[in-house]
Amino acid sequence: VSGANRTEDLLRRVLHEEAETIEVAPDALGTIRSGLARNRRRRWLAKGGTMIGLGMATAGALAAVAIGTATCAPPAQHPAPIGAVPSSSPAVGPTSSMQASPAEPPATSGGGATANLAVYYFGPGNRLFREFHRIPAGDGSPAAKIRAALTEMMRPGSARDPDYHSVWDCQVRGVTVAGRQVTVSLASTCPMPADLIRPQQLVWTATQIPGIDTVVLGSQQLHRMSSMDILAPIWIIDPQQKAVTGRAVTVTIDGTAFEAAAVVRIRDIGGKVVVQRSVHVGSPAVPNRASATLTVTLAPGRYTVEGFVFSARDGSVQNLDNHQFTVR
Amino acid sequence: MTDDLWDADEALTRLFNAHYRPLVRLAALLLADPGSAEELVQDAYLRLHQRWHRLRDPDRALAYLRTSVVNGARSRQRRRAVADRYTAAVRHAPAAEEPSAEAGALGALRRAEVVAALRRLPSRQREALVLRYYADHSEAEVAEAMGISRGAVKSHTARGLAALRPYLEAGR
Repeated sequence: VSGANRTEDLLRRVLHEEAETIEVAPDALGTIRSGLARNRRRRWLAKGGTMIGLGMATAGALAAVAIGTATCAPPAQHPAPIGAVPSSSPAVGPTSSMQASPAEPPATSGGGATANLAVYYFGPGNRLFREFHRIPAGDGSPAAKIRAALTEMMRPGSARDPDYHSVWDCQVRGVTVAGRQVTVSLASTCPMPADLIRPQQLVWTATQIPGIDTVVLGSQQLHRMSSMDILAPIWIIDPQQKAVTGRAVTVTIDGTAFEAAAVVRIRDIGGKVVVQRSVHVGSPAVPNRASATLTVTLAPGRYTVEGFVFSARDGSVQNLDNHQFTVR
Repeated sequence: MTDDLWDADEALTRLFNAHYRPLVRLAALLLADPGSAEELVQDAYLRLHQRWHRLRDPDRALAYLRTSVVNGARSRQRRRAVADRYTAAVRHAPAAEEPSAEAGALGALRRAEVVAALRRLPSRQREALVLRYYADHSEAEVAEAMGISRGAVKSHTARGLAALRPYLEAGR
């Protein structure tokens, strides 16, 4: 390999490893649709204002627009239903409805009042699993976001998935960020874990902001353990636990698996398997996790989506994560 | 339904499912403030939805999204540079300029140095490197996304690589 090629290969690896650290919020489609609805309202108001303004003086037209805002509903407050079914997807029901965002309302882009933040919990196998929670985040600064995420992580019963739990029963007193380091102050009554594993829940939640990789907690300086050692091998990103979706359901699974082979399975409320598909995620041979997405169409009802791998040894189900959701 | 019959809403959903995540990661690599990557990409999807009646082609739509992300990132970088000059604020090594550490093939610290150096490059050089070596585009595709000639892509790529070489080769 020539020197030039070696430099190029190194840069490729750096860029791909860096890209893997970027957390992507799961409900962005809902945010985009909110933006569409806002744009439609603006266009409708602009059109209404122009038509009224044609026969009136400027001041009168402005007043008319104000009245229109207060008394008339725009013709399309919400985007039209969207079908989203690739031809290869199994169709269990009609293909007419849209994939809705998770149960929480999406924030407007750049709104700053709330943020969709990653919160890590321990789950089966004593591994960390990630949920995204839309919560108030103060002024939207990195410190405010980290404080909000940690406070949510420590709130009893905050995990949506009943299989997940927090090992921190505590209160956050303060969070400060300097460069790549975040200092977290907890209430003096907080019991500090003596082992190496439990602090990782706090560390992974506190280092979700790009550029921050060190947590100072009391006299300790903590870093993320290798994802291979602490994160659940497989987790379901979408739909989130208790999500309400349209009939076109996008399932996103993330993790690592032998030969990158994972399985997505969806059961109806009676336990009957209605969808089972193989997907490719990351492989332990390459030290990165990877996501896979598929879209299926389901009839209205309650379902459980499962992500797992089949054991290469005996074919048993391993590393199972599951979420319950509702198709309306 | 064939591709050319997608309406704007359906196109948005399909293109979101297929490309949103990689585009956010592309934007995060192009921006000095990766935290605004999602907002930038969401704006690109909103513009795509408005123009879908003129595009009506998934391949052209993806090219449109990429170009929109590249241009948007460049515009934000320019605004940020202007704001920095006016505020002349003393910053503590801005968090946004360095990546989170995760286990990987390269040491986290070394990777952080390379990424920090990448973010200090002129916008055109950074764009050429990210599109070529992260998005795996051909020179022609990079030229289209950046709106420049293939010769200019070669030049920006070579200069960017030369600037990063000391960081990439450090410790070898």
